[in-house]
Amino acid sequence: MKIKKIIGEWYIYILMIIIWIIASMITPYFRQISVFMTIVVFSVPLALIALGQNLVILCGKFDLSVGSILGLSTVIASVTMNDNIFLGIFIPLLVGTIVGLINGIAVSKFRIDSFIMTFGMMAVCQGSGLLIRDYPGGIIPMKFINFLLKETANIAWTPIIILIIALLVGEFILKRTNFGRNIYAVGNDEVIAYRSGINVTFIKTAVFAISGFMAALAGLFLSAVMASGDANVGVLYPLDSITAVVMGGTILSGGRGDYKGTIGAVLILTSLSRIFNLIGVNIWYTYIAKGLLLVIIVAIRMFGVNEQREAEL
Amino acid sequence: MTNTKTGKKVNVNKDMMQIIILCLMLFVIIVIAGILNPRFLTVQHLISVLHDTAILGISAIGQTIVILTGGIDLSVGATMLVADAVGAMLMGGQNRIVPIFICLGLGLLIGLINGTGIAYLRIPPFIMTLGMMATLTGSIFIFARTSGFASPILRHLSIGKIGDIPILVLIWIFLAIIMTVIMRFTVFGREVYAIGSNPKASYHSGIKNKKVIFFVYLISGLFSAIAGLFLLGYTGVPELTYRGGGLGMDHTLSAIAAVVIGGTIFTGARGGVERTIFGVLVLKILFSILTMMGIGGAGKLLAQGLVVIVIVGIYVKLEKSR
Repeated sequence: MKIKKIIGEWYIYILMIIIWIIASMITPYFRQISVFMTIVVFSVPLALIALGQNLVILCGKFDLSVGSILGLSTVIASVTMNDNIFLGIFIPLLVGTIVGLINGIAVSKFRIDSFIMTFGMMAVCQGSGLLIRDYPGGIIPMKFINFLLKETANIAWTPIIILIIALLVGEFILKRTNFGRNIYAVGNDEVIAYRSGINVTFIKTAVFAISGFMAALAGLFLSAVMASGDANVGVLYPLDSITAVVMGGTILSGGRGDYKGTIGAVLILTSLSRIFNLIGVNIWYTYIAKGLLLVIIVAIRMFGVNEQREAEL
Repeated sequence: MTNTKTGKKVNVNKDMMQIIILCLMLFVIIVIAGILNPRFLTVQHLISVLHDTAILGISAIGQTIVILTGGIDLSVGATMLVADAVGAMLMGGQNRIVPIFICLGLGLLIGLINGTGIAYLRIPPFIMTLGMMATLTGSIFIFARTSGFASPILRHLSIGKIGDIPILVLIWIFLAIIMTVIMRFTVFGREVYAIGSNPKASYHSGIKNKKVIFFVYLISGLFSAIAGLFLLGYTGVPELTYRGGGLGMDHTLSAIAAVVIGGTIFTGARGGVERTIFGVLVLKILFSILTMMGIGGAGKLLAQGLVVIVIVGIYVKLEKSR
C-alpha cells in the first residue's frame, strides 16, 4: 500500500531513470557528465516557466503568454543590460510582472477567458519584442553570463542550484503556505472557495503575476545562455510548459497536482531532445515523441476518471 | 430574470448589439482605410481583399463549430499544411483528381483521430489537438518532400474568376451558407449549441454528446483540409513553414482570433458561423490596412493581439450587463 503510494507520487522520476538507462545503453555519449549538464542548463528556463504555469493550471486556467514574455524579457535584457546590469535585470522582471498582472486582472476582474486573454497578450508581447529587436542580437555582459554558467570542476553549479531552489520554493508554496492551499481551493471549486472566505480575485491575479514574473526570470537565464536577445525564442514554451505540467500529474481542470512531478517531466522532455540529438535521429521525431507522449499519458489518466462523469466530457 | 419575456427581449437586443458593433467597426475600418489611401475603396481592391480572406474564412468555419461545443482545435493549421504538402507531392503539376480526395481523406482521418480521442477517450480537446499538432509537425518534416505543384484544376478553382468575382470567394460563401443553415436549422446544429451551453443537461435530455462531438472534430478536419487544398491552389507551390510554435500555428491562431472577434466565445453556445464571416473580414481588412501603411509582421501581430483583447473585453462587458 505504502509502496504503491510512493510509486504513484514519484512515477515520473522512475520513468526518467528508465529513459536515462535505455539511452545510456544505446549510445555511449549519453554516459558523459557534460550531457547531463546540458540537460540541466536547458531544463532551467522550462522549469521556471513551468512553475508559474503550474500555479495557473492548478487554478484551472491557462497562460499562453509565457513564451512571448520570455522572448520580450531576453530582448529588453539585451538592450538594457550592457549599460547597467542591475537595471538590465530589474526592468525585464518588472515588465514580466506587469504583463502578468494585466492578464490576471483581466481574467479575474473582467472575467475574460484566460485562453483568449493570454492568447491576445502572447501576440502583443511577441509583437512588441519584434518591434524592439527584429533580429536576434544585442550584448549580454560576460559578468552576468559567468555568474550563471561558470563551471567549477566541469560542473556548472548555479543552474543546478536554481533548479533545486525552484523545486523547494514551488513545493513549499503549494504544500506549506495558505496561499498554496487557497490555490488548490480555487482550482477545485471557485464558488465554494469564495463562500469560505478566500479572496478568489486576489489569488487568480497573483497566480498570473507570478507566472509573468517567472517567465521573465526564465528569459534572463536564457539570454545568458544565448548571450543575446531574440523575441522569437519563446514560441515553443507555452506548449512545452503545459505538456510538462500535465505530464507531471496536474489535472487540467485544476485543483489537483504538484510541482515535483512537473520538474521530473521537464527533465524528461529536455532529455528526450538531447537523446534524439545524440543518437542522430532526425530532430522532428522529437515532436512526434512529445505529441504522442502527451496524448498517451493524459489518455491513461483519463481511464481512472469515473465513468459517471461521461456527461461532462 | 423575473420575467422570461423581457429576459428574452434583452437577449435578442444584446445579440443584435454585438453584430451592430461588428458592422460599425468594419465600416469605420474601411472608411479609415479609404481616407488613408483612396485606392483602397476601389471595387477591384475590395475583391482582392475578399479573395485573400477566403482561405482563412474556410478554415475558421470548422474552428467555429468546434468552439461552439466549448472545445478547441489547435491542429487546424497543421492539417491545412499537411493537405497542402501531400497534395502538391501527389499532384506534381499534373491534372489529377485523386490527390484531392486523398487530401480530403487525410483531413477526415486527422479529424477522426481527434474526435475519437476527445469524445471516446475523454482527452481534453486542448491536449488532444496539441498532441496532434506536434505529431503532424514531426511527421510532415520527416516524410514530406517540399516539392511539387498544384494541379491546373485546383489552380483554376483557387485563382480563377467568374466575371469579376473569384471562384474561391463563391466557394467560401457557399460553404459558409451551408454550414450556417446546418447549424441553425438542423437537429445536429441544435445539438451542438445544446452541448456548448450545458453538456450535462444535453446528455440528460437524450443527446448523444459523444457522437456529436466526434462529428464536430471530423467536420473541422475536413474544412481544414479543404482550406489547405485551396492554399495550395492559391500559391501553386506548397507552403511548408515552421513558425510560431508548431506547424501552421499562425494559421491556427488567425482562425481562432477570427472566431473570437466574430463573437463566438469559449464557454460555448454563443455566436455562430455567420458571425465568423464578420470576424474574418475585420481581421483581414485590418491586416491589409497595416500592410498598406508599411507595417510589418511584428506590428500586425501586436495589432491582432490588441484587437482580440479589446473586442473580447467589450463582449464580456455586454454579457455582464445582461
